[in-house]
Amino acid sequence: MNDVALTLKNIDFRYGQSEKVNEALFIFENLHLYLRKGEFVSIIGPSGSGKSTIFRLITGLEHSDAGTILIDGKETGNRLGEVGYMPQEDLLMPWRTIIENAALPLEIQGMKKVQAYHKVRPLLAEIGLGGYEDYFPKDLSGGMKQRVSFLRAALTGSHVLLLDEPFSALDAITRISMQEWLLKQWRMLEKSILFITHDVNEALFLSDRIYVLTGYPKKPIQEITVPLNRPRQLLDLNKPKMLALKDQLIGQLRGGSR
Amino acid sequence: MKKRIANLSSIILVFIMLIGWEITARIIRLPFVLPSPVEILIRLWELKAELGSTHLPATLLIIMVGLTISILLGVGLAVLMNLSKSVERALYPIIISSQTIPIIALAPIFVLWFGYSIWSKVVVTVLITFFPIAVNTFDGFLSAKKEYKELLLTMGASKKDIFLKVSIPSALPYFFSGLKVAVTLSVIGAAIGEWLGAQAGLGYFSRRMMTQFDGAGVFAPIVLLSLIGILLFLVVVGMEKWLLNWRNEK
Repeated sequence: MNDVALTLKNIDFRYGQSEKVNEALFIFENLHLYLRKGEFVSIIGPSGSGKSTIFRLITGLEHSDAGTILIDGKETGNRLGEVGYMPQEDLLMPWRTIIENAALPLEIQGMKKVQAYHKVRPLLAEIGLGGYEDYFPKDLSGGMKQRVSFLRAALTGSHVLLLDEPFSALDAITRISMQEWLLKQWRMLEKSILFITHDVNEALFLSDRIYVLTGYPKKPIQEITVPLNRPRQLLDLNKPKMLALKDQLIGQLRGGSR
Repeated sequence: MKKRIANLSSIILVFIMLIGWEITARIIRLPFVLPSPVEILIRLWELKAELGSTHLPATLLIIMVGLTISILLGVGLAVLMNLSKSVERALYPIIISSQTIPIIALAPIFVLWFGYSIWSKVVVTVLITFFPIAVNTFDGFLSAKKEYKELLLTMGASKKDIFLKVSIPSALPYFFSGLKVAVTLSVIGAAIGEWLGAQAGLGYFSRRMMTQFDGAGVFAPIVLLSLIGILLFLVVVGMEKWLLNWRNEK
């Protein structure tokens, strides 16, 4: 199990500290999932299925009632600061310039500002934002902001990245180019990515494996391996077996939503 | 361009009102009741040495000391209330009720406590001006988005990191809104304080002129007070633009 980046074992979780164990309050019961090193895995499910809660558990913002979460095979204290997290909204701070936003995790790790900016500057250029260092987020497009947000998550230093529907607010065209961009970054940076989405196409195009959350915990979580080689083209999604898989997934998601 | 036109229309309006005032004053011809703007300006010129050497500095000192204390007190209270819910529950009602006290009625008591020293006036100024700073800054702390705090937590941030990198920048625009209100009120506070017991200052001088039925002499220091207020306001707006440059249009 040396190649596993992240493991969730037997996770029970329910909101509220109620004494009575009410079945309906359970978000997760005996949840298992894992992420290999260098793997790209998506979690897909209808809204309200608890996708984001999985991330809150992994990042340490919430604590499970039972079970263990291992990062690189180790159980570390409260996990805060152990993985890179990219939220749904870009959450760039409007009062910080682009370079100040991207350098935030380095600053929190205690790096001197000058050093941090020195490190971030070439990385910004690499993601096509050279020359925008001193702009404020309001002067950037949605796609550009998401790229800064991704860089910020990557700079936390962890090789495990959690991306929570990062492209859901973008228009269709920008979204496709951001997906291609993300795959390029993933290969280059050698990160392990857990990706939340409710878009079946996005999940199929990006992932090695997909976890399907439908009506969990009543129905068990399903695992699907995407039968596509890399590098991939967007047109690969039009292959008959992919179309069949897509229809099957959409059917599951529709059946699962209440 | 639009802004310039807006400024211009306001200047024109003020000018029309001044002309109306001038004409009314000339018709009534009771300068100790209603001096004309021109008479006030002339009197201001005549009094410039006396006002400039003693009364203006005295009032400015009260305003500056009062505002400094207000900022420290207001921000301090806001930080304390932000730190703990129980401190907030204890302090907030007291802060609110402090504003229901008719301060003018209390001012003579401050004179009894502090005598004719600067402190009786400073207390009046502080009582009036700490409130908008405290309440606005506290609201600013509350406005800090939970999502930013959680994001910083996932990066392993300490409480201090979150306070410095999320709470303070979120509260800063609110602090400046409070400060803008406070600086204009500070002029009123200082003037009231001086009215009720002082040996120098623009408020004191204005009152002395009233006992001498010198209408223009009453108004001349008031013009100065109002100019101080406008000037302080502009200084705060300038600081705001400079510190909150991320809100400016490119």
